[in-house]
Amino acid sequence: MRSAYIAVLVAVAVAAVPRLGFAQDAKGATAKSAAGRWVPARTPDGQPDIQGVWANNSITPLQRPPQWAGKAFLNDEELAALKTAAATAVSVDSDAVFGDALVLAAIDNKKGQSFEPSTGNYNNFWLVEREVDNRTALIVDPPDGRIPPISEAAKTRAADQATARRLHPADGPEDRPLGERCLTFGTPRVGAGYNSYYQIVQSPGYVAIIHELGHEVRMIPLDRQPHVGPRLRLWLGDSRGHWEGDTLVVDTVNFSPKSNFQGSTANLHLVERFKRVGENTLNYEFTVTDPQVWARPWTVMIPLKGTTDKIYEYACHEGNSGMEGILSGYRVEEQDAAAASR
Amino acid sequence: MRMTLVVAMLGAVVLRTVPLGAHHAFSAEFDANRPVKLEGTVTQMEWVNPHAWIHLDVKKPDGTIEKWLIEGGTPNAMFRRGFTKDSLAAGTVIVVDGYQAKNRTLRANGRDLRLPDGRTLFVGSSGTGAPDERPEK
Repeated sequence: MRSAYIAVLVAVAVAAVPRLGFAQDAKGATAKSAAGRWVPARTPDGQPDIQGVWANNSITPLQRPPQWAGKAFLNDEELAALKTAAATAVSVDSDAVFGDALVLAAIDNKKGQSFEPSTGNYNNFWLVEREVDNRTALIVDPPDGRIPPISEAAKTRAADQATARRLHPADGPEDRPLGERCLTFGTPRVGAGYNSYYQIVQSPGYVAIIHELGHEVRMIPLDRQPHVGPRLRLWLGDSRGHWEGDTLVVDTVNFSPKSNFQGSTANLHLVERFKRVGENTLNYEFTVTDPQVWARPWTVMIPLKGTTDKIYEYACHEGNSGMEGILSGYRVEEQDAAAASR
Repeated sequence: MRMTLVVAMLGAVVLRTVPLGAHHAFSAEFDANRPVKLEGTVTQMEWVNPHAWIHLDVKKPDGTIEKWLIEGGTPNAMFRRGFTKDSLAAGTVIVVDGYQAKNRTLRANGRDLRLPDGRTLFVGSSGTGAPDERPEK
C-alpha cells in the first residue's frame, strides 16, 4: 500500500517535469502503439505534446505551377533537378528572393527575381536557405492545387484597393500595409523563409502559438466555450481549440474587416489541424472558407519542421524608422513636384 | 494601350510575389534615381528587426566624413547560421551598393554589401571574412 503511494508520487513528479522542445532526452517520453506507429508524448494534463519551435523554410509554392500541372509530387529525378536549379537560382550576391519567387524561377532554370527590381532590397544572405522537397503545392484541396475561382465582388474589391494604393501610397501610416505598420502579419501564415518560426506552448486548458514574425501570440483556449460575440473583431480572429485524438483542431472566426488573407473578408472562417506525426514533424493543415471571395473552401498543408532554435524577438517598432523614411520620402517628392510645376 | 496592358499584367505578377506585409517596399523608401556606392568604416551595428542598421563613416574626397545609415535585412537568419552580434565589428571597412533615401538623408538600402576585396559579407559559416574578424563564439 505504502509502496504504491510512493510510486504514484514518483509518477506525478516525473510527469510534472515540463518537456519542451527537442533537445531533451526522449527516453520514455514517446510511446509506440502496438502497430509501431509513432505517437506523441502527453503533457502533464494529458494533451498530445506538440510543443517546441517549428519552422517553415520550405520552397514549395502555395499554388501548383502550370509546369507541374497534374502531379502532386515530383519523382526523384525531378527533385534532384529542382535542388540543383534552386541552388543556382540565387546566390549570396543576388538581391533577396522571397517566397514562391525562388521555386518559380528554379522550375524554369532561371535566376530568382527580386520583387523590387528598381532599388533592390538587400543581399540574399539575409535570408535562410530554403528546403527543397518533392511536393508541388501547399494547397492539397482542390486537387489541382490552385486557389478556387474568385468572385467578381472580390475582384472589384481588390482592384479598388489597388487603385486607392496607387492614388494615395503614403498620405499617412494608414495607407501602408499592416505589416509595415507593425500591427499584424495575420493568420493563417503560408510564407516561408522569412522569420517563419512558430513556438507552441501548452498549459492546462490552453495552447499558445508564438509567431516570430511580428512577435505575435495566438492564445487558443480549449474550454469549448462559444466564440465571442459577432461585434468583436480581432486581427487574428477569435480561436477555440479542441483535441480530436492526436489532432488539435482550431476554429477561428471574428476576423477584423482590415485583415486580409489572400483577399479574405471579415467573414473568413479558418479551421486548422495540427498533428505531430514524428519527433520533428508537425503537420499543419488549414481550410479557409469565405463564400464572398472563393467559390469553395480550400485547404493547405505545411509540414513544419522541428528545430532546436529559439524564437528571436521581432520588436517591430523598436529602431524601425522605415515608416518615417517612407512618409518623409513621399513628402519630399511632392514638394519637388510642386516646385517643378510653379 | 497594349503597352499599358502589358505593364499592368507585369505589375500584377510582381504584386503576387510580394510577401504580404513581410516587410516594407524598399522602392517606397529609397530612390531608384539616386544610386550610391559607398566605401566606409563601420562605427556601429544595430541588430534589430525588421531591418538591421549599419552605421558607416564615409570619407569624401575632400577629407570630410559623411555619416551614413545603411538598411539591411532581418538579423535572425544570420544568427541561426552562426554569426554573432560582433560579426560586423566597428572598424570593418565595407563597400555598399544601394540607393539613397527619397528624403535625401544620408541613408541607403544595403542592396549589395561587400568587403573591399570584393567578397560578399557574411559568406561562409561565420564571420564577415574580414582579415581581423573576431573569433567565433
